[in-house]
Amino acid sequence: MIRTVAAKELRGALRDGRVLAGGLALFVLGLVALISAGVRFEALSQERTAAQAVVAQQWREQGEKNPHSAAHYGLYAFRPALPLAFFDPGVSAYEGVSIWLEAHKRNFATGRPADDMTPLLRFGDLSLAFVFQALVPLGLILMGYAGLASERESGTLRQLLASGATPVQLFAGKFLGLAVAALVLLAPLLLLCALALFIATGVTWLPSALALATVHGIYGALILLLALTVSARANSSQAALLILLAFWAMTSFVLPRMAADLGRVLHPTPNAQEFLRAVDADLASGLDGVPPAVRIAQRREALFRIYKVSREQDLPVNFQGVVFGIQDDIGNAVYDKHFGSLANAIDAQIDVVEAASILSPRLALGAISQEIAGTSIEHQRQFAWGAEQFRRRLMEVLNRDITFNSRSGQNNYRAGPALWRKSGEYRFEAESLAASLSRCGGPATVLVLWCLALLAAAVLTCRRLQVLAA
Amino acid sequence: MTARHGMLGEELHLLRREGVAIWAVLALIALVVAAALNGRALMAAEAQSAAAASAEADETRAAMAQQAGRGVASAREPGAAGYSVLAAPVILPAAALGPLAIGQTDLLPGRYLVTARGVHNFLGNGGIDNPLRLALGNFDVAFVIVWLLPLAVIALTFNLVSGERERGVLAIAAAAGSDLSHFIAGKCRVRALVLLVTIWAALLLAALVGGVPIASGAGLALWFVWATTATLYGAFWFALAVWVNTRGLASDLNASVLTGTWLLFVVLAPALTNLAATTVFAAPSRVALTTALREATEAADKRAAGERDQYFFDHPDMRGQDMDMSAYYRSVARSEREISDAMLPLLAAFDTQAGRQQQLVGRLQYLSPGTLSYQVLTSLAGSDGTRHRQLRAAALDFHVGWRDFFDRRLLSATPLEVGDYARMPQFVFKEPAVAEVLRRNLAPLAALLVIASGLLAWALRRLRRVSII
Repeated sequence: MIRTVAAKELRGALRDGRVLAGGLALFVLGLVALISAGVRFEALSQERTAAQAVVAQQWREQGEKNPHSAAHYGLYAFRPALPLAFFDPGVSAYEGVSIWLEAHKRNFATGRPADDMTPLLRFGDLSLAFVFQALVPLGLILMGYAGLASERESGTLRQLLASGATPVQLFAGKFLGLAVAALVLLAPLLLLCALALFIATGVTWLPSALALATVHGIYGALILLLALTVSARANSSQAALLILLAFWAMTSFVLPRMAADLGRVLHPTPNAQEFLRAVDADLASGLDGVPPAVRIAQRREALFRIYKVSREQDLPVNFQGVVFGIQDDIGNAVYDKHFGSLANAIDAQIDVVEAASILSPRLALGAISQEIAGTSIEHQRQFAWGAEQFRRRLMEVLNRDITFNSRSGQNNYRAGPALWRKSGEYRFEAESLAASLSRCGGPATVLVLWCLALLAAAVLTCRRLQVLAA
Repeated sequence: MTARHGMLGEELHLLRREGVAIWAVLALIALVVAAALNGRALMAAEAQSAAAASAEADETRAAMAQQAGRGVASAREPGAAGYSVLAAPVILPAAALGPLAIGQTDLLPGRYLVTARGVHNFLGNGGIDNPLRLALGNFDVAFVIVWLLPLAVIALTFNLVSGERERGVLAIAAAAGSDLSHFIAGKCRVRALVLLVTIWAALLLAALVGGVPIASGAGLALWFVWATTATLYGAFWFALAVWVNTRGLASDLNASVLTGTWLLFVVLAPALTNLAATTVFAAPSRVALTTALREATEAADKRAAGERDQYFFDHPDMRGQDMDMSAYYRSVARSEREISDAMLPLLAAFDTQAGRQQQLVGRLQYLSPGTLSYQVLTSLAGSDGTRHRQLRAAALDFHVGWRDFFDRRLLSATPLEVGDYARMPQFVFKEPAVAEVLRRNLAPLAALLVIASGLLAWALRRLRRVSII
């Protein structure tokens, strides 16, 4: 019986001109999003790879100079464009693409793509994620809102139940029929996306793509379940439609913005100047209350005692290199403290958004999607932290070179290409899919809870259908 | 007159019975007020930060002036003051309607700390906001108006005619000899009145709780035009809903059609416009800018390497008190100017392309009342990016004067005196006149008026031929 109902529903949907028009519109929009994102990804990928190579070459070929001059010259780390960003750009437009790795300072990533876009970007970006997270659910709502309500309004519900179909069979049949119809309509776009990914990256990212498809499929099923449940319970198809549209607008557009701004109000982040002021204050005073000048003097005295000398010039090492090392140690601790506090404030804001995902499953879907696509805040942090670790190693190499290969007061000391090559290059490697998924526990739980709640509601609704039809 | 009052009372009674309508009105007012409070909180935080930056700069300058008076060498050295210590805050003042439309305010820099060093030092310093929040967008009154007001209008009007037809009221009225078009026009008038009162009451509340200075002439004028824009936008959706009702479709189909149109005008058209503008006039590459900055830095560093080695490149502080600080800062000034001169044309290319993007958006905005309204609302609130671009240009101009103030003294080896600290350039943002802001929005507003009134006239004409079945 389920198959019969499903087949009828599938045929009905695929013969409905409005459904076909909606499917076509989704295909066209998805195609526009796919092409524009594909072109952008290709350009960004090539550009950043080339820039990273140019910067590395500039570093290697900077000629002979004092290592500390080279430290101030520094290097740049460019965030690579990951392939699945073409599906879900996540927060990547609002994160800087490059970080200057220089002496003494931990810098923020600069060059946010959003800074170079029009104010209309704040309306939302037309991405494939938007198509699948906002537009496809709308399509499913429009396909499903009348599913059971219209049967009741036209009196055919009673006939169907009288003909031997149970409410569960009817519900399941309608669900399957509409789900298959949606899949048929979306298949061309899904295949094109898979093909584009395969051409661009081979099979490397296919497991991630499959994970993305799965989680979006679950969300689609959830929305369809909701649509049919509301359709069965509402007084009329008109009321069902209004309820579902209100739910869609609230969960897709209103709640995410409200939650994000509530997070900012509850857990404000410092502005850039406040942040730098606090960093400067700690750099000047030292985190443990011992000012850097005192620490340097203590180290000087210790070295004088070890080498039994009384002047820096008589030390077998360049004391300036030691000073740079002390300054970097203090600086690293200070930057860890303040970047950590900033990350905590942002995490607290994200917690508010995650809490709101209990009301808006789209937020949970978005969080999982960004993690899998490699466009979440956490991925940006991994890139920035990797760059920072590289910067620290680089400075250590340069400071040690000054310390052990020159003497205090030797202003004309120069190092050359051998040292620049020794310092290596920073290459960001994206984490594994399993590692990304390990952070999705919270949002995945929310989606599971929504599914369970809707399944329970659907079962209760089926019982009510029986009563209504009786 | 009595009949009209009777109609009004009857329709209001009907609206009260339709839970959806009442909820839509109440939710709209509540959301507008919540959004205004949110906008006010953000603006207050911005103002507080700006005031702190300004106070800090003033304190530093006063302290340096005192030190210069006592003859402290570093406070009298123009290079040290201009290139290492002082920073002039270049601040965009809060706009009168800022709390109503946050727009680009939280994304684009609203202040720069200008030093005598090259422009690349202060132009590239962005904010450190939560990127997820930026990506999700702001919850401000402009968002509620542009996104949610149409949904409230749809909830109030989607079954304006179809609902009466489905309940059989039209057939009864026709049988009783009533003038159907008069009957429906009356319903339209009542619902339009409810919407009008809701919009203006909500926006008045928003102005009051958001801290909009409506007591001032300029503030009131801007708020009035802002509210008028919202009203015209609401009128467009009302007219569209009436027009769709005249098509003779069922209520749920009306709702579907109107939601689809909302999706097209409010979600897709702006996103496609942004996509078109940023594709046709793609911004120059930030990555290429970074590598260009690096090349310019390297070229300047190479030229200065010999003279800077004695200072451990950038650490004159480590070389004791006997070093010639002026020579060091003259070297820094030369390097910074070289880098700045190399970067300015590249940075100008970003402005040029942003200008072209805006021009294209300005033309494409007429394709969607949603885009059109958003552009006007953010423009009136000074958050569409125009004021931020003006601030950036003003900061670049100010930088020239600020740098020259120190360079003149540095190159002529003239120490700073106490009085020089008071004579340093002060930045004042030249706010565009209200008339200029209004003039800029005249064409989009006129277009909105024409679209809304034209559609309404068409819809009302079609009402005369409304079918009862």
